[in-house]
Amino acid sequence: MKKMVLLMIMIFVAFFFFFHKEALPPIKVGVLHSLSGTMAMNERPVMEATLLAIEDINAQGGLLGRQVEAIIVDSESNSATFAREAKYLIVDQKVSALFGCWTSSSRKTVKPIVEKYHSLLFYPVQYEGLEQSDYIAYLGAVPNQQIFPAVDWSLKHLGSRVYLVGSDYIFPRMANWLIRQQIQIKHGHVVGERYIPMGHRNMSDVITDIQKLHPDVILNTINGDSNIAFFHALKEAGIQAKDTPVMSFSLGESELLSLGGDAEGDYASWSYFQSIDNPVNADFVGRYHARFGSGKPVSDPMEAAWVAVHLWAEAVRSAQTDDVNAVRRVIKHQSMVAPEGIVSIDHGTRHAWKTGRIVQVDGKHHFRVIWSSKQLIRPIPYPLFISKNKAKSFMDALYQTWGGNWEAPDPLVQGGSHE
Amino acid sequence: MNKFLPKFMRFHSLFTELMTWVSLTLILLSVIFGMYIYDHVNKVIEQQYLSALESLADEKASSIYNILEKDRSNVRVLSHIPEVHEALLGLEKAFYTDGVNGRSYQEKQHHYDAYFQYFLEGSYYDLFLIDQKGTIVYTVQHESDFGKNLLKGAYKNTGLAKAFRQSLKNLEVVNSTFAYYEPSQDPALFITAPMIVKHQVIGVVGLQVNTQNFYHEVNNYVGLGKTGMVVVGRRVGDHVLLASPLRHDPDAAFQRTIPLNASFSRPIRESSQGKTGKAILKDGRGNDVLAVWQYIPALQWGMVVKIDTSEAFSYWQELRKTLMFYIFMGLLLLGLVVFLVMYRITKPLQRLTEASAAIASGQDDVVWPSLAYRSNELSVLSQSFQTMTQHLQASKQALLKTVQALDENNQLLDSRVHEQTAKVRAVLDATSDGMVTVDVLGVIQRVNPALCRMFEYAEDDLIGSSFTRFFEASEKKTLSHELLAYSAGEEGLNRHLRGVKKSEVLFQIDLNINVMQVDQQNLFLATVHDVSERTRMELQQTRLTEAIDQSKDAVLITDRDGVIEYFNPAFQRLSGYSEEELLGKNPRIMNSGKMSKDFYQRMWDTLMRGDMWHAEFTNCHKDGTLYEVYQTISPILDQDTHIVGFTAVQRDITGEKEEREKLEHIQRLESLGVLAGGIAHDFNNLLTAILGNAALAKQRVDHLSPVTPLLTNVELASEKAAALCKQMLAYSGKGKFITEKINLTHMIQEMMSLLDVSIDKNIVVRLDLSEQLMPIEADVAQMQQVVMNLVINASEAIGKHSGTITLHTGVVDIDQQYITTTYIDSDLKPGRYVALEVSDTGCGMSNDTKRHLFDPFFTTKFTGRGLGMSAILGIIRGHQGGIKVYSELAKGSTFKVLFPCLDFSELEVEDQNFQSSRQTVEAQGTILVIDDEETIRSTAAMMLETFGFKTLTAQDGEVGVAVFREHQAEISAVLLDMTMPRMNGEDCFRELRRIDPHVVVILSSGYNQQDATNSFAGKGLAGFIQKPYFPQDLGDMMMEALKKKG
Repeated sequence: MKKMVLLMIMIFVAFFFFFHKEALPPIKVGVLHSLSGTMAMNERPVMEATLLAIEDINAQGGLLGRQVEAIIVDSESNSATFAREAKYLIVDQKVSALFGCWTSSSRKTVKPIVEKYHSLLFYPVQYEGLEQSDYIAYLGAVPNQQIFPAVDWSLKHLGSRVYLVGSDYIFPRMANWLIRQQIQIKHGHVVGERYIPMGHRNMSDVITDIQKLHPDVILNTINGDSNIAFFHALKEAGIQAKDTPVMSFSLGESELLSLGGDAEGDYASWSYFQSIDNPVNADFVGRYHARFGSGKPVSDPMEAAWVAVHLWAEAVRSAQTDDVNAVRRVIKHQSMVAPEGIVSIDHGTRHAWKTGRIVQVDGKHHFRVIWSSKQLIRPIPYPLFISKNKAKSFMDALYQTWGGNWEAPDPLVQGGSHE
Repeated sequence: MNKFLPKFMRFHSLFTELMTWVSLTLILLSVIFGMYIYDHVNKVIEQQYLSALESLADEKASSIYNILEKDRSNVRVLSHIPEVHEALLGLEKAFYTDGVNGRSYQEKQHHYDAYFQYFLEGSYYDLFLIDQKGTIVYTVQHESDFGKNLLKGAYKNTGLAKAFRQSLKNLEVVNSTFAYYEPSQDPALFITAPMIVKHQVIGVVGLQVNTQNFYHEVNNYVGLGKTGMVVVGRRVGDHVLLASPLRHDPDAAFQRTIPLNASFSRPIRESSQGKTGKAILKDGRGNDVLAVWQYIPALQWGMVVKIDTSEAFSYWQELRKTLMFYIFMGLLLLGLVVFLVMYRITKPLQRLTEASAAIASGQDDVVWPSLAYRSNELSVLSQSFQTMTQHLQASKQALLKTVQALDENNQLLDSRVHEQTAKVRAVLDATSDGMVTVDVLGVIQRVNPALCRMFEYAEDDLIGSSFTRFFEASEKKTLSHELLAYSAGEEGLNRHLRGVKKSEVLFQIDLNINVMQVDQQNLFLATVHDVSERTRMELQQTRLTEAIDQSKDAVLITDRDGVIEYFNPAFQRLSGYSEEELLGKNPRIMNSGKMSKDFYQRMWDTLMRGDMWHAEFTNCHKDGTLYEVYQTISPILDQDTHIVGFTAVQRDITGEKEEREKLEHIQRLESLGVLAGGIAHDFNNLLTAILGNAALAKQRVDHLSPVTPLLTNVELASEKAAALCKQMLAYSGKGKFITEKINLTHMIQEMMSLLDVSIDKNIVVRLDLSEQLMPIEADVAQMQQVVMNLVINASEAIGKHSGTITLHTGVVDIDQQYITTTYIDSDLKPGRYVALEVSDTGCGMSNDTKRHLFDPFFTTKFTGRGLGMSAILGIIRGHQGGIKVYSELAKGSTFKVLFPCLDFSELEVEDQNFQSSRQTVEAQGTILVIDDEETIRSTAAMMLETFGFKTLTAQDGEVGVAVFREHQAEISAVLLDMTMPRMNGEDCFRELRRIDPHVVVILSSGYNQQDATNSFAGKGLAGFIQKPYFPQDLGDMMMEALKKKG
């Protein structure tokens, strides 16, 4: 009798192990954004879009039968914190991929970390180009996908006397350097150029400059909440879009909301705008609003962040593993129909093929699309008309001048005077 | 033997049933496992094939990308070569000057042909040089496009024209997609790049890719077997236009289209729309295929790589067939083995069953099947059945014998019953309970002697009478009804009621009535038990218990081992424990650990001797708080004076004790105050001498003398000592000397500048002062000291953080209950008080600090002397005021000081006494100094002399009066000490006034302003000077007094 009972138990145990599927551990991914500091206003919605995509994937049963777990860290709008947290996510948390960064200075501090530890960063923001890494997938536009078409359009439609203004860090400096080269070839004139330290709000010098020089168009690469101060100062000074329009390269729908009517009639250039009319975008915007509150604007980097997560998921499914090296190999074959249209990762540069768009702010404080590229624009990190070496020397000189940083030291902290 | 089996068993034999179930189970398990494994393996294999195909597709996409990238790179290089720039500029110039057939153009063309041919080298079909205006000024092939303009005319929509325009606009290398190119009569792909020289675009260079090379790469089927295929196409409207030949259709490129809505078009549709994917599905030929698709953005192509499943899975299908055959054979073999095992188990059982059935049908000669050769349960079963049959036979015989023996026994039992009945009757007669049998009508049938005794009747009086006669009239009716209603079969009727004796005496009885059947007739048997004694005892017990339960003192009873047996509600309230938590426990659970072992030892020694033990105990409440009780414990003795338990009575004295301790504390502080006052007085006397002498000595030496700084040091040290004495006096409540009517609001407003410099800059002082504040009678200096001390303490409580100090004044009406919450409540009377509140947002105080707050020499500061708060308390006490302290750790503290308001009647009086003006008066006249201290006497005399006064001295009151009487005419004023032997200051003053009612007397004392103001009030005291004093102060006061006198 005892033998029989034992036999029954053994059969039961065998059955249990045969049919029982053990719950697999989740796939960890790192979400690396500034949730405090001057960039928090821009980066928090991007983080939310990233989480939305992860929740989408989990709601559909996860990846390879596993849930995706987001490890969120706050990079405090500080490059050093970005580097430290990136290392923490890769080394301590052993994440399969990193989603994050906004400013180029943050990306440039994270780049050596992901390269050293053979990880993979998905970067969601437009930037100055002149960079390429096997360990970064660039989902934002490079100048030839955003800035060059917009500058070309501005010269044609707004005038050839151009004023350049930007935040004082690597992206605006490099972008304006490139714009100067382009404008020279295209027979335009740069009448002035000024930089605002990150997070600063004093615009008096810039405004005086603009009032004095009367440019046809202002090309704006200011980032973060300084944009609000800039547009407000323009309005205060009575500089109107119909006389001196602004073409912005880092002004998204999120910031537009904070500007009120200050930017009416001005222009911006991105690949994605919330107002794009297609079912994929309607679904994306609808679900973002349902999850994080209706009425919140959805911007280009948010869309890029959402797309990044889905492309990564596609790559994991294709590689049948979340192993970083395998995912890195197949990510270059991924493409999808995103809210902005088709997004496809370029084999060689690991940048995304994207659509270029120019919009104008209408009376209801919305972006209205007035130009978009007929087909996807190939990402070209190193433009044909510039010398790679000259670009590198210019970049290195900035890095040296800024004391080994990718952004200018804060003059207030240093005790120096405002530019 | 089968014929003996019931019919249903013959058809449902154990063998059939077992076989059916085991076979079904085996088949079911095999099917479930088989399907699961088959499905799983199938999925894994499909997934693997798809992954392999995906890798192939990735490779294909990579190689297309690489080819294109190489071409782009070549064009890029071309656009940077100076020779190419020169070629364009030269050819452009010649083209426009001479035309293509001109000599200069021909020469240049000839020159560059060889150069550009080298670039083509089979990889490219053609090379173009296009000027800024869009004119093709050079091609290698010289097709019909040569010399044509790309911005207008027939070629403006060609791939080359589009690439040219994009290159100019974007300043980048641009490739067109594949499209049919009319001049070459073939599909073509163009790559163009702008040529920029010194920031000027001079033109565009372009290459036409060799289409066949490209197709060769696309249509490379290595790894795709016989049915594999690569399909590439571009979306055009609602169709996909195939861009390369198919395996089965070499002419498909740009000839065949696939409609987007076709059922099989999913892969090419999705890929051309930008999606990636993989699946098993049907293709255009209706075959099942494995397909993987991707988007190629550079060419706007969708790419599908597919292979027929029949080919992909062919090996797996072969393997599957073989596997199925072996599984089937295995199942067959397993069935056979099961059959044999079942047969072997069930056959003997069948034989046993048949034998059993034969026995059951009554057959005696059954032969049991021999199963001895089996070692299992079956042989045991067989043997058991055999033994059981034998036992059955033996039992039958034994049963017959037993029946016979039982008959004999019955007769014996009958005789014993008779005997027992007689005995029962004897018992009934002898029992102490009364018993009576009553018929259904309530008529008494029989009674026993005990009943007759109980009710004092004779038996004959009772038989035949009503049963209810034994009870009170009020019970009779009820009982009759109950008896009538009561029927046999129910449980007995039990009542507690009062019986009536023949002598009409009432007594308590328990009545029990049962029904019995006698001679088929119902009879009631009533048993009556006299319980009057028991009832009385119970009542007594109840009263006792109620008394204890309602007692305010806690009562506890334990057994000899201290286990709690009883406690009253007061005890529960006091200890906080519930009944469940106390019963059966030891009172040790309330032990607070505050009493020593020795204490308990003495207690037990006393108790075990049989004596009582009284003592104060500190016990621990259930919630952990401690409480004090006064407890009396007495042993409980039994009849043999053995201790059987203990009774403890506790009285809660926690409140009493706290009150007592508080009183003792206040008394201690008061004693300390007296002591401090005494010391201060004596010190002040000594300091008067030290300070005075030092000051005088300083006046007498040259200010450049080396002694001067030393004397200054003596003065400074003495001043500090004097300040300390002042604090001590304040604490003793005897520091108030000069009182006047002051308004605290005004005083604080005047002090603001002083307060501001005394506290840190990080602290904000907020004033909330009542403008209509009633005045109080107080010493200004002391009030300032109170405010200053409180504000400085508040500032220190805030420390280096930022914070707020709020000063508030107002009027409050306080009652007796409020008074009990103040720190000093002994002298406070209900009424209207002026309140001064100093609140801070500092660190607050712990309970321990609060307890010792006003103790002298208690300090929380590193450098403090611990007299500040004691001094405040002394001052407040001296002003018949009160103080309240609210404090919470980390939140802040509030000190509320109360002073009695002045009556309105008192307000009418304008006191002019203290209005002074500093006018210099020439010092003249004689001053009589009366002081018992020799040093002070002489010092004071010397001081006065330095101002120009003459002096007389006297060592006590009596001498003083005598001297005054003698020199009355020349004496202008008297400096009088308060406390002196023989005749004190007060008496002396009275005597002096008697001699001269207008005598100018300045009182001097080391302490005790209260005596001064009380004893001298309204008596014309000219002034008061506190010891120790400086010569200047004494001189000023003296001159002031004399000036007033006029």
